[in-house]
Amino acid sequence: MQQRYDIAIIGGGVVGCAIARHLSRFDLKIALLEKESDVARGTSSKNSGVVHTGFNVPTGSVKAGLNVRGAAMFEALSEELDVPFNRVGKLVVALTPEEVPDLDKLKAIGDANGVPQLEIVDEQAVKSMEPNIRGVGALHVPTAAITCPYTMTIALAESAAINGADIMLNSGVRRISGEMGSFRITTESGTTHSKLIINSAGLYSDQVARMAGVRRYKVWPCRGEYVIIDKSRSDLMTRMVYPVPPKGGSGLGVHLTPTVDGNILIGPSAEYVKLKTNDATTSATAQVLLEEAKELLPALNPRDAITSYAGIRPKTVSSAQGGFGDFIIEEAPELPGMMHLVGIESPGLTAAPAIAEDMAEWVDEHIGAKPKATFEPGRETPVRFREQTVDVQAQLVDEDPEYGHLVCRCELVTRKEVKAAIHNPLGVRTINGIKYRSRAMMGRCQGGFCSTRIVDMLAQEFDTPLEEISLKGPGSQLFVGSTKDLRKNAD
Amino acid sequence: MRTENVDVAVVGGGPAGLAAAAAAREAGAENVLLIERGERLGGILNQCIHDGFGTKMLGEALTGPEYAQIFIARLSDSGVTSSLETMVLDLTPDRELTICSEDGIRRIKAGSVVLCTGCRERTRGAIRIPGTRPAGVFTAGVVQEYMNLRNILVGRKAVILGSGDIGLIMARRLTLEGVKVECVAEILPYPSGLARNIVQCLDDFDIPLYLSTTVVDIHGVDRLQGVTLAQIGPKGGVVRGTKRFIDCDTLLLSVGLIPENELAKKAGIDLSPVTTGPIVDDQFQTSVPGIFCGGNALQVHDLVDYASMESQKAGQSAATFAGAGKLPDQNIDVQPGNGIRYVVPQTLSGEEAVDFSMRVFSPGSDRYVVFRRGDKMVRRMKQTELDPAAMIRVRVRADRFKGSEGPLTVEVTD
Amino acid sequence: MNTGEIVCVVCPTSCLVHAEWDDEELVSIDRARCKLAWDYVAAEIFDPRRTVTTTVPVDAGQSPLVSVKTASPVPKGMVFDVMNDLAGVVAKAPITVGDVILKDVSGTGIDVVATMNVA
Repeated sequence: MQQRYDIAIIGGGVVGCAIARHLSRFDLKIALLEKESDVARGTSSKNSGVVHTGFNVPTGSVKAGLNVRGAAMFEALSEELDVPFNRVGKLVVALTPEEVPDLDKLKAIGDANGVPQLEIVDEQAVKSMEPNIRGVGALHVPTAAITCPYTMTIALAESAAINGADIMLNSGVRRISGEMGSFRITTESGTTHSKLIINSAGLYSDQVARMAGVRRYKVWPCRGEYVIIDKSRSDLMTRMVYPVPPKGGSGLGVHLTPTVDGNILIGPSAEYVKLKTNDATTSATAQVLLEEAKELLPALNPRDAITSYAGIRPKTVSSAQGGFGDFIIEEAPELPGMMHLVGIESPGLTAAPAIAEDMAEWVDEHIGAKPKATFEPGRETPVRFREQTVDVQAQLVDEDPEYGHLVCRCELVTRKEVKAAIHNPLGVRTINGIKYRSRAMMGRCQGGFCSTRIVDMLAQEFDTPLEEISLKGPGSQLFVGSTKDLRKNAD
Repeated sequence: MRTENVDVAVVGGGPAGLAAAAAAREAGAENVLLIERGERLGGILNQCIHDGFGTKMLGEALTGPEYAQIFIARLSDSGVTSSLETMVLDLTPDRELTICSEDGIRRIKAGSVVLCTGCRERTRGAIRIPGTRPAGVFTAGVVQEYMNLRNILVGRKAVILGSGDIGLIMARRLTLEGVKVECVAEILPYPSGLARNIVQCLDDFDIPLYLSTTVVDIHGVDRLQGVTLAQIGPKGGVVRGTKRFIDCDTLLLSVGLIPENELAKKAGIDLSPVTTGPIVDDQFQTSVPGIFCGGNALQVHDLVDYASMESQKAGQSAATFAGAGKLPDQNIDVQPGNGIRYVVPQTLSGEEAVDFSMRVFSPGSDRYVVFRRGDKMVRRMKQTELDPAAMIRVRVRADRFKGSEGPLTVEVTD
Repeated sequence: MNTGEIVCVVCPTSCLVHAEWDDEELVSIDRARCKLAWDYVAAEIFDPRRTVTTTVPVDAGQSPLVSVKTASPVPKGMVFDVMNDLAGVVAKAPITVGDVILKDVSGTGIDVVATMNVA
């Protein structure tokens, strides 16, 4: 790790990692500073994973432009990085005839924003496309897609690292001083010098800006809770299904989103919270989510919910203000050389590749960005055993017996894949890090069978003392030590 | 792909599978294969180091590992082949298994199959306990595995949610190893575990049991800092003024076991919505001919003895089926009546004695369990104590089914 | 005369036995379904005992721990003495079910024995 960089990116969410990866195509010394023990620990791993087409953002907004550009790049990017991508399509459904005119309004916005192939369909069409969904008509958005947002973020970070970027974890920023050409950034883990800074700190982008003396931004945290449905019910629907956005407080307008792994997500809710760290789930909201989801999908059984989670949107408008808040992507005039990305909520995931391109242009304007002679676009990933036919699975095991050991029974994850996750290029050694990379522990038993085996493997691979094995970094240790040593020493 | 033929394939090498496989062999099946996903035989018994196992079957109160060892020895004497660290990926209705181990993926064509796949624990996610996601929240069985098999201690101050037997056993285990167990909270108005465990695991150590109480919030960003308990009223809502914060670094969840039947679903087997295990007849055959089931996968047991006993019968029946023997026709439906939550088996032939397993809905004393068929009283048994946590077993002789028609009903009466 | 309710745990029926006893002996019991309850209830009142089951670390074995138990129940009040006297004991592999891991634990005259095999 060097101390002097051309560009320091603050924040390892999907946007920061996308920027790091894109910039790593150029002859630049890049640092990415992330405060948590892994990338994608914030909003980037707690959203719906939707690659939006751009029909539900106001025409002419920054969001709309970046959404449409990003959407056009997403499939190719997923292919390059071996990230799941599935163009399932979306239906925005009217539950009553009174809601049907709203579909036309949405289509009009979509058309104006350049979203292709939009069509209004009738009740019969809804029934034939999605037999389990209630609706009298719908806006069909065939090009809408789903991806895995944390896999994409991790893949972007790994690719950036492969191409020479320094991804620094557990490096929360404390102080920023200096000026363009010679910024000095003090983090929890040391000091970094950089010519330029990109502030992509998500929920904390206002606080990072303030550290540099820029006081013009404010981020309001708005929590969104989700409930996850067991993948044995993936037969219930194929496409994303949204209701027509509710008018003035009548319900949450809960979305049903299939995931690339076969689960169904119900949510998100939207509730302004006081603390940026308050990603707790609540029982009241889970109940509302399930009730509203049942309106759209009567065959849904609450017993099929396997878990719930919450993410926090970085909003640029307060609860009192309400209404639309656009992306803020700008250099503050009082401090050239530092770019601020504030309020990157939905469609931030979709927009990330486009934002990255814009950042490269900005860097080029300031210090010049010369493309490298060699750029490695891909990354090495073990084959996902669970996605293969049984004949391919048999071949895999014959070639490498590590594929023959199933560690996670519910999600069919093999020891080969768990080992690869443990030996990940970013050096993350937390249980959650292994979980998000391998998919183990994410099934219906939520680690009941596999978590002890994963702990064994982690302890073995690195000779890690038990007291150091953590769920998600310092402070979240799983164990206090060995039972018998503690008892012996207690006397 | 390599294909092999076996007479009987048993899935799961815990107490149910061990009993089924040995019984199949003893009943004459030549080629019996036992398939186990873990590193050794014994299943969950390996981590159940407490005693109380075998009082019915062996006349002694053994520890889990001792009980397992007896059945493992019986198995190896009987000539059953075991395949460890082997996962069954698929099971078809015509009894073809796809199995996976480091030796490769193979197809097994079985004359008959016995499913003994046990249970998994209900998770935090499944009951949606609100709050943050810190380290320190575990299901009780996982903590038991860490403590008893890996010498790992998970925390110093624990709250246990759920008074099921696993939670109670762990309350004692943790206390013996120096962990402070603050309390056990139980959402029902009565305990879910056996009375013996309330006495020996809670009363003995003065650990309070709070009934009609549950965890309504989890606190702590990185590691658990504490939980909020609250009393739950008769309609399921939180009783005002009863929320209180308990300082702890560990929350153990003992909130129920769920029979593991993903393979049964793959084979198209009909599952009972009450037990969530397969619907079976008096031979323990499921709705798919040639596929049998016993143990925790069939119904959650409190005594391993009964899991072994019913699996022995399942193994014997599987051997008969594989040998092209005839199993009796099952024409009599068994229907749970007043007070009875479920009865296993759900159908019977009327030609053999049947050991019925059942559970009641709610606690009671000095009642009778009555079997009726038509207007004939088939059997009446006095039950001094009725406890939903304690499975009731009643044997009914074959001759008692005669002389009447229609379904057999089972109910609780005064 | 003392009275009380004691759960008999000899078998899973777990009868809730009503007992009457004086300072010397058990006088009468009611609501027990079998004869075994008498001895258990008497013991529970005058000399309550418990089997202690726990684990002991293993030196050079295929498992890090061996599960053990007191060969017969020890006085209830001595359970933690047994645990404390076992702290620091390390068993040497190979171990067979029934092997004595600690003789005459806490002066009870009762041995702590292995309940599993460790190669």
